[in-house]
Amino acid sequence: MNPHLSESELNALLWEEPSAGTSEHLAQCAECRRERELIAGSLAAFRSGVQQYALRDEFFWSAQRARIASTIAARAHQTVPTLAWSMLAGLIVLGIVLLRPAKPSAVRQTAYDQDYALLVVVEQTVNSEVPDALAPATLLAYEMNRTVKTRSK
Amino acid sequence: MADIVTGMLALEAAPDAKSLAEQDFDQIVRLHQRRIYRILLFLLKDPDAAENLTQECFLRAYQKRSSFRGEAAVETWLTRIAINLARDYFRSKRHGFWQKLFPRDDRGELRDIAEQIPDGRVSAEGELLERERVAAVWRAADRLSPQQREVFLLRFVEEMSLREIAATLQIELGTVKSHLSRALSSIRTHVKGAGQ
Repeated sequence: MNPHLSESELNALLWEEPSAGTSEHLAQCAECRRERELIAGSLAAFRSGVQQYALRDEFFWSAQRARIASTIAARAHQTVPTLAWSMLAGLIVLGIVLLRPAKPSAVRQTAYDQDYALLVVVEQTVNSEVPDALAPATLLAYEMNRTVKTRSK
Repeated sequence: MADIVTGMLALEAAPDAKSLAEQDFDQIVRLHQRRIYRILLFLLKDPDAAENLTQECFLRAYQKRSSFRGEAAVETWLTRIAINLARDYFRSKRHGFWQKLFPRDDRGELRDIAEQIPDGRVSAEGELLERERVAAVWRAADRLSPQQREVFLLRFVEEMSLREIAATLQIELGTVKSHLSRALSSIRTHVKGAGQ
């Protein structure tokens, strides 16, 4: 008589067909058969227990299917407004780019510079060390010179 | 509602997902929801979480149906999604927080499962012994590593072949056998202890 089946051999009996030698041993050895039946029976009872424990009535399953279907439908509808909002945002950005005010022209910029330069000159003149009493005369002289220059051009 | 879902599936599905799209998605849910729920209930031991994650499993399957190439069975694909969801659930910080705050008492589930043994099949004494053994298997399964529990569940509750388990968990066949052997050795110890 061979020694008893090892633990790994007994374990393997639960997921694969026994070899010829193992079958022969099992046929002759009541202790190994009992050992196999003990675990196999416990596992079968456990499987049955888990399956029974997870049983639910038909309402539970149909309600779950309805929730899944409604969530899928809701997510599908959500994609349309998202696309619409994206397109609207794109149009707004495009509109802002196209309707942006143009830069002032070079001619207008030049005129502005000349006016500014004149203001600076006037201010410098006013702030010069000319006595206050003669200030109007100085300004008059300046204006006359300017007129002459303009005419000479 | 089923028609809406089927219509959307037919319109939106990628060519690669044809085999999945050809089927009515509602029908897929109908066929597999009990199994997915059972797997998640076993792994999570929380009926509410199992219910929510079963729903999430099918929503994710619908969302990622274009990645389904028909190389594996729909059953394998859905089981993989469910197991990944269970792993994410255990990893989530929220779960850890609530677990610490309100630690679950597994004795309730243990009693419920042990009480599912049909009456009258064995004598009263035999029934008691069988309940003890079922409880012992449950306790032993609870102490297995996460991957050993997954392999144990797929083999001894869902009765999947070793190749199917390897494909579902994306591990080698030898690894499946190794996990099963360790799980069974642990269960053997507990069952023998309960029988004495």
